[in-house]
Amino acid sequence: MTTENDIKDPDDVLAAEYVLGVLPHAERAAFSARLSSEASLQARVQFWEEHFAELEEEFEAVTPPARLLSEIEAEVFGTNDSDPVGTHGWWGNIGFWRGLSMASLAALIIIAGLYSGIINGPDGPESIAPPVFIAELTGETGDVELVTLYDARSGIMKINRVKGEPDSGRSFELWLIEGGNDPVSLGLVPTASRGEVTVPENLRNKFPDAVIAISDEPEGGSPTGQATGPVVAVGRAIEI
Amino acid sequence: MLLTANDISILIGRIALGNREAFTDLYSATSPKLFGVCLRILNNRAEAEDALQEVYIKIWRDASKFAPSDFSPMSWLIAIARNHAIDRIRASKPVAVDIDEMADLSDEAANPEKEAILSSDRRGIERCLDELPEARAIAIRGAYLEGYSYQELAEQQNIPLNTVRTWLRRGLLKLKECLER
Repeated sequence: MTTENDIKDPDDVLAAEYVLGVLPHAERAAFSARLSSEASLQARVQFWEEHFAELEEEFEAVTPPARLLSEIEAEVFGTNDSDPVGTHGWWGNIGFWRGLSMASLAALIIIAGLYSGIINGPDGPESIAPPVFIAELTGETGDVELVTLYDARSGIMKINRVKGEPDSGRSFELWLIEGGNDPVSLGLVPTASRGEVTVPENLRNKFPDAVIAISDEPEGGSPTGQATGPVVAVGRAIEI
Repeated sequence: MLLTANDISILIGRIALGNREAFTDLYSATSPKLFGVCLRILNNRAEAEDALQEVYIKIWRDASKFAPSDFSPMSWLIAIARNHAIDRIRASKPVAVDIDEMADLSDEAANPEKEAILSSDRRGIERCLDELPEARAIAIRGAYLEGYSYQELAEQQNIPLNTVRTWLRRGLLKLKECLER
């Protein structure tokens, strides 16, 4: 006899039922609410979504009536003139850029550059958003790649370690290099692949023309206040 | 317009930055597939049109949540459309009776001969569905592609509503076992 007790992992089968879509409305809504906050549930849902996605070829494409697009555009652009670049936009959502490959990142930088050109156009930049700087850090060997995104408004720099990590007993330290000045430490690169550091007040106006670098240091960071280990990745901060 | 996965990822990235032209391009490239999904599940043209409209509004708002490494961009879009269409039918047709999860049910015999013939060159989910008792594979496929509820599956399979969930769950557990092999 199969009972709930035989199901070792009720959440897993629940995730399957959710992805399949068979759950009754109330249960579906309850699961959906849990999903937004529980990472383990998200992973289970992803497992099933990826596998079931193989069946999606069986959905036949049907061209929708032409009038729908203009209705959708009116809805999206007409009544909603708040820009997605804002507190809840791509900047705020690390999910968007954590997986970006360097190639698509480069495209994004170009697009973002064009975009900021548009928003900083004739009306002046001050009305829109304080500057955001993106830097793609790479090293000569290609073993370490990071992307940093710095929001001048909050002083927070988000760090996405795309590739490479320090050896055990070592730490990656983050440096700001302005012009010909000595590097100033921004702190350690968080050990998780994604994290953030708060840029000290006195460095926040240094970003135009800054270079961001990562050095390999003893665990806990440079003992001297200056980079002691090799620079493993470096890149210029670009205003977007 | 035929776009590669990478093209679609970049369009979604541009939409996340508020680019309207990218939104229109994405719509042109992907709306037939997503409309097909809505139509198949909702089985009603007017409903599917409303759903498609809501789906693209959601895509505009949620473009920043797309993480290119997780998922093919087309699968991501299809999942949004499918989920939305299913939300719509589940909300409009609430199940009247509680579904009992605790019922006993004897299992149909698996079919080893059929397994041997079909298992060789088929991909993950197809191969694993073929390993299930046929009625359960049909039910799972129907739920995915047509959006059937437990109530509809119970009627189609002629199984009491209070046992259909146990019956299907057993199939899902077997499916998982196979997918993880």
